[in-house]
Amino acid sequence: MIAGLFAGITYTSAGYAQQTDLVADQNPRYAESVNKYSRMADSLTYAQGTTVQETYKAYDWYEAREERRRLRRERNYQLSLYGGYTNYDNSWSYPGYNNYWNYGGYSRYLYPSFGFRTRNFWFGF
Amino acid sequence: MQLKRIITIAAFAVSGLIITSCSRQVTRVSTDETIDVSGNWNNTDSRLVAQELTQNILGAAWLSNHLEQNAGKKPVVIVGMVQNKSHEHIEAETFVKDVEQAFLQTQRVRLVQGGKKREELRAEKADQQSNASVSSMKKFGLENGADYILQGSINSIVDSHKRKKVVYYQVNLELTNIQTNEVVWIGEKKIAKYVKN
Repeated sequence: MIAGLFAGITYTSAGYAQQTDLVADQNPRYAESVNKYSRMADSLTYAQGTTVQETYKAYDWYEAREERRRLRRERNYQLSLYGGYTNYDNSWSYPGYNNYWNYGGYSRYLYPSFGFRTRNFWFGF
Repeated sequence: MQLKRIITIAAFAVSGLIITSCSRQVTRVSTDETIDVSGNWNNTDSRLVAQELTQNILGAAWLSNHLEQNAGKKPVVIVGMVQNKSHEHIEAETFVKDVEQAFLQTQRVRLVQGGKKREELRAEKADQQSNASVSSMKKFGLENGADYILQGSINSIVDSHKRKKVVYYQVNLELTNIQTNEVVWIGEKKIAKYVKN
């Protein structure tokens, strides 16, 4: 109760002090803004003197085509690591290993290596 | 011998063509020049919007009405949000800044900062309360309150079939009295483009 009374007196006197400090036309509630922005001042001013980059990626037809080509080459390279997948986009291929299903491709990791296949079904042992 | 010479010349010509086609060429152009490449929103559209809206807002009745009602006191405007509801990335700041610049150049309208810049200003002021000398410290509670807020929207309609496309943009800016919520001015610019691939 004493603490509450003390806090009340402090608040009242602070408010009174603020009232008396007001200059002409100053907002009487300016202290609320001072309290609010004092807490955020560091984070809001840390970028001063720098350039904040808020860029966006604009669509560029030529660059988009180059990016598509790069991704396709990378994908084909990765596929080539898994058993020389025939590349239909480019002319590159392993002669004699063109049959993706028979040679293995991804399927050799998905299915048992011993067995036989009819149509799209693999019978492994 | 003759054939060999022709082949050599042809090889030089082809290699020259390849080299020139691979090298990037950049040419500076005037910002007032209209260059349409893809049919998307570009600097010409932004310029046309800025010209139309600047001319319109400064010549409209709201300004004279305000001066009359407030004994010649200039209106204070804050720039609010512009909503892009079109199908493209469009930066409204490119034409809104032109409108703001016209306000200041003509000295008929006063501007106050809003958004992130205002936050930074207040933070700087808060920083000064504990770091700047008393004589140079700026006080809180003395900002200019805006009389009007400028808000806007960008809309588009795309009509396409096979290789043909018609793109329509409508840019609207509106000025509202903050005290009364009364809309005192609406400006618009319509742009239509026919694109054939």
